[in-house]
Amino acid sequence: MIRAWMMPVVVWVSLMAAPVVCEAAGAAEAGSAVAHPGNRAAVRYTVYFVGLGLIVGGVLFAIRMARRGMSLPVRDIAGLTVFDEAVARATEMGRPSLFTCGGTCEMRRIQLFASMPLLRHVASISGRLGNRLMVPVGFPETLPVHANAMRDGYLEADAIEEFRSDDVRFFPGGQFFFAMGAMGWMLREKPATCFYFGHWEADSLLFAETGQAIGAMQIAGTDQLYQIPFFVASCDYAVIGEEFWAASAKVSQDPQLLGSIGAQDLYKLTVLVLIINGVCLCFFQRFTGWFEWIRTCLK
Amino acid sequence: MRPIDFVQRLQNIDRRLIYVVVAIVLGIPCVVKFSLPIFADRYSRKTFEVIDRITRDPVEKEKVVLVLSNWGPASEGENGPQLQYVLQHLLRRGVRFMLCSTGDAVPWAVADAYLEKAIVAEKQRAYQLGEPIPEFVYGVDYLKLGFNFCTVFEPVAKTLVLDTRSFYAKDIVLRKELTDENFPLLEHFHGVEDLALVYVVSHTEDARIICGTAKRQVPELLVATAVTGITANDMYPYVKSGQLCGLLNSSRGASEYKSLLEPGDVRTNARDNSQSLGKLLLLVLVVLGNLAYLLTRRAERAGTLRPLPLHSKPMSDLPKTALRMLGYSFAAFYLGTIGLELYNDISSHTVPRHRVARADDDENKVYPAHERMNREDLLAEQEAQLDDTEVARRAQVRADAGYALLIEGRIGEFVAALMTIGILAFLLGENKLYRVTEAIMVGAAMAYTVFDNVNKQLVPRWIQPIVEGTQRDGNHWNVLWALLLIPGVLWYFVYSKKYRWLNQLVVAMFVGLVVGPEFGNRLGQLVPQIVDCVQPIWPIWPFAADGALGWRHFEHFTFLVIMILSLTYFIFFLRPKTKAGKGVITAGRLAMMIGFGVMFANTVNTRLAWLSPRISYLLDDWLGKLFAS
Amino acid sequence: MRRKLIWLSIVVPATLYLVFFFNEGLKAFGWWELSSAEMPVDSWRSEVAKSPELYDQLTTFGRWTYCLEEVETTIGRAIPVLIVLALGLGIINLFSVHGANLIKRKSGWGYSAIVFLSFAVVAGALMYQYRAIDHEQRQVHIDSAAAVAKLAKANEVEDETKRDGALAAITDEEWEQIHACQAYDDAYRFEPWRFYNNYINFPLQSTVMGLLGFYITYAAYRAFRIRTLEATVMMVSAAVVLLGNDALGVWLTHEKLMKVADFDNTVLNSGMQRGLLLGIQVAVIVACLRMYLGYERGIVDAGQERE
Repeated sequence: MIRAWMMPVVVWVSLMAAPVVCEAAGAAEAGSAVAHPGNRAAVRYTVYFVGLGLIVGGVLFAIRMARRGMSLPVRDIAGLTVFDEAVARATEMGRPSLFTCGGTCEMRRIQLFASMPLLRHVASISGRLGNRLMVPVGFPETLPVHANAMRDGYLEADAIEEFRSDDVRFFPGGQFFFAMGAMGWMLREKPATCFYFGHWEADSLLFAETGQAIGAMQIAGTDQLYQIPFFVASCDYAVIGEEFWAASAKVSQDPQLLGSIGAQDLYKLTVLVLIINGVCLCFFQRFTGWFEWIRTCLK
Repeated sequence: MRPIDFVQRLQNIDRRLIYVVVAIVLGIPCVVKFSLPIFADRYSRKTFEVIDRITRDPVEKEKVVLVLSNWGPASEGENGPQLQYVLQHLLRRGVRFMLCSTGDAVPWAVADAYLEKAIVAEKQRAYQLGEPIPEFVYGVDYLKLGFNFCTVFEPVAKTLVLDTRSFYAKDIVLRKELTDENFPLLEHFHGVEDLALVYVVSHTEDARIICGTAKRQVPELLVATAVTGITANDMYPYVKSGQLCGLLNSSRGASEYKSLLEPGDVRTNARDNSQSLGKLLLLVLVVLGNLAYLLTRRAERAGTLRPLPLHSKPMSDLPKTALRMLGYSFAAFYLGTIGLELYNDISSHTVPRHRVARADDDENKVYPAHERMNREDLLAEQEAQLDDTEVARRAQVRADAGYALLIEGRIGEFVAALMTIGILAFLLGENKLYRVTEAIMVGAAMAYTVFDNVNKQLVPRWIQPIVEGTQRDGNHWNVLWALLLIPGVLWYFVYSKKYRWLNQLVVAMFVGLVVGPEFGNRLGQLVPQIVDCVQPIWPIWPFAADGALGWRHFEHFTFLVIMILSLTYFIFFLRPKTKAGKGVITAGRLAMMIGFGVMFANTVNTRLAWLSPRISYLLDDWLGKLFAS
Repeated sequence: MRRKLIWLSIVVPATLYLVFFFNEGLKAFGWWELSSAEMPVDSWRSEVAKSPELYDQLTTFGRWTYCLEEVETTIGRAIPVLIVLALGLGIINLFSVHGANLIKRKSGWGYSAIVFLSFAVVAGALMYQYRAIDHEQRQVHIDSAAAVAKLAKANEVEDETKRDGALAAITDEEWEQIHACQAYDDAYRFEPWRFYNNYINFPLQSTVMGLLGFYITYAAYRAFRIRTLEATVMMVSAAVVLLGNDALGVWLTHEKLMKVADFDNTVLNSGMQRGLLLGIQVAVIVACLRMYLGYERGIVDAGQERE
């Protein structure tokens, strides 16, 4: 009788046995084939192509399954569940909220576009609660991106009259000049809630400490690893690494987007399985011939 | 106040008091001189040995080292000494190298200045040791390729390394083409296969980009890097995987490198000591805060004390009287010092500058940091530097120019000091001095951004090609660049109610332009990282028959465990209900906290390395010159 | 229709860049570039190279990969220009905000006046720099370029006699041009760009960066409390690396802490970073895919009127 638990065992055993079978079948030795850079490039780009194809296929499949109501659950992410509470706090205190992507989040950063659904969500909550939202911006070409996201949020909450274009404010001069201008703005307006989502570098600590100084509730999210310690140390909530990339799906609660998160989790498990298998192959000293050749090509 | 109340207050010291203490502690080494021995870690040693190995191998010694310097004055405290000591090493060992940078003229200017410093330092060292003074011949021992303007490094990284000659085309000193006839050094360099090493001194991850692009095509290429403390966080995994063959971490790495270059002779300097004291202060404050926390928690549990709120209270506004007194005192002090310095300058007809080291300086004598120069002194200096035929024609003009530059520098110092203090005033909270500085900054930065971008980007890259295309003998295809005006105008449709969606077209185009390369970039990083994780962990204990090999396996086993725990924490559908499952999630969180602590500590290096030069600037350049008078 | 157009604006450039990426692989694989003389004797490529027709077809195909590179370079040149063309948005935003403050005499209008004044002064100074000084400098160098090049070439001659001959060949008029160029370079000129960069821009930037030293000390003091196990672990790890990587700490602990800090840095920290990075790379690819396929909200449907 076939059981579900047998499937991963079968897969794992096959992966372990594959190199043994290849060697027994007399697979080609590494040697001059590895020496040719063209061959190494061929293997590398074939792996990229197949990998990308699998990821695309998997995500499309997961989205399709999600439409039918079948998707993996996604646990709550602490920093994302308190958006309503945070903006409500600001409204009660009669102070504005602030949302910024940082002084290095220029048009070439993918994190900018990943943050805009969150800005839209915060703007929607602000519109609903009648709270003012301040959005300092470091690059002029990102002004329309922020303005559109903000406007859409207010539209969603049927509060377009609350939208003030003056509250999307450009501070020129690069990362640090932007930080000083925005921090001065924060000191004057004293927002009660600050959202920091995007691509952050050294200015993360400047903003976080200024927010602390004015007693604001701070929620931050980034995938820049070396800024995470400062957000963890200075902010009330920190959305770190992949949680930042899952944030837009999580706040929208769109089943299709949540389905893609499920696919993402399965890919991570696949990566883990590949690594553990590879290490086990080393352990049993089965890493010769073809597999050493592939490893050399991919490194 | 009871002692326990005082202890409770230690948990919540006003941040402004801490800032003042930090400024004082960082300034102590400028006044109190002391030094400590330096111990080099394995990464500095590895970096040092890379160059020594080139020297020992006759085949490698025939090759050339490419030194890429991509940093600016902002990270000078860390990258400057790194570049200088590496160049000194190359010069001393007779390894040929080419110095280059990308971006704009600023990184090149600082790199060039440090190359000159390295050459002067080597000559001074030889003089002090009684050795023959080395002659470093331009074009034979080293070559300055200059800078190639670019706004983003990634697209040019591959060409810079794989096709250096065509990327730079000419050198920056003589403006000659990079041919063997023009520069004998280039007889040893025709392509990437003749590069013994690519050495990247940068404040960002340029070395990682080179590994991901050029080294992907030439896996045997050696790449080493010297970076700031915060960037070093990202570089360690690449050293571990072998993609980078050396790493210098911040100014500490530079000091360690120097200690290897001059064994037995190197101890910490004022800047190193300033950072050391800063770190010590940080730890003392942490210990103090925790002691206070533990004592008050015990008192709170015993009911003898009310608990403090969990979040620290917001910074209160300074009392108006105190702020006014502070403002008047500062204004009086600042204007007073300007007045005093101007009086000194006018009455003595001299202007102070940093003392220039001379070849005949007595090594047993300590010379002051500053000297006062008048026109006659500058004239004598020029006469010593110029040929007899040129003295009459050029010496006076150059001396006058030098004197005028010193006066300009003097005025500039007052402005810079005012700007510096204006920004530091932010630490006190909202105040007029900071607001004025901020307003000046905003207006000036806007003007600078506009003019710089128009002059350096728009005109040479867009307008000039179009104009050339319209000319008779120009490339007529260049006129097509005018089509960029269409998406350029679309930006401004954001102000139109009816046609706002047209603006979204250009934004969407940028989304596509950003998303497209990300697939390749991320795959290109993901696959080697997965492959690098696959290494043997047998035997897993450190005491194997050949000890060094066993320790590496143990390290990799630990690395894998931490990696798996961290990765597992982010599997979103995992919501374990069992104790074991929850334990795994907790272990993952703890593993991440260890890493965050390390990153925090590495960042402290960089942050203090940025602050201590500003403190020493105020104490040395501004006040130091005043007191030296 | 609008949504489709916007979605196509995302898909077309993204697909182009995917093609560029795989084109790189084709180029790296481009064995058709090698003539048969350079082929390794036992390589399977040499078998293909022996067939001239097939070799010609593949060489033609290979040329297309270079065309695609040209397209990529052109797009790379266009992007910075497009971004600079958006500068006007920043100017409009800044002027509208501060202009409104000034006109309506809102609180802090004086500072808005300083913004305009500072903009005018710096803009005027830079205009003077780029138009007058730089133009004059370029003109002086253009006028004397030939003469200076002749002098430089003469000075490079190694043989003394020949060098003297080359120097003597320089005419009086050329010497005048060379001396004029040297006099221009030697003379002092106030250059606003140099003054602004050296004494305003760099000190301001450096000081703002320096503030981080203050902030990081206070952040550590405030945040590193033994309230939870995680905070304690983070604090201990940071303390070990801080002391272990510092000359003072190493001297106090006789290098022992340096080894622990090294292990912390290279094994524990690297492991954690690798774990996070692996997940982030996958997450970014999936997020990019969502944007590419048009599922991400706020991109394809942004900025459109619903009322």
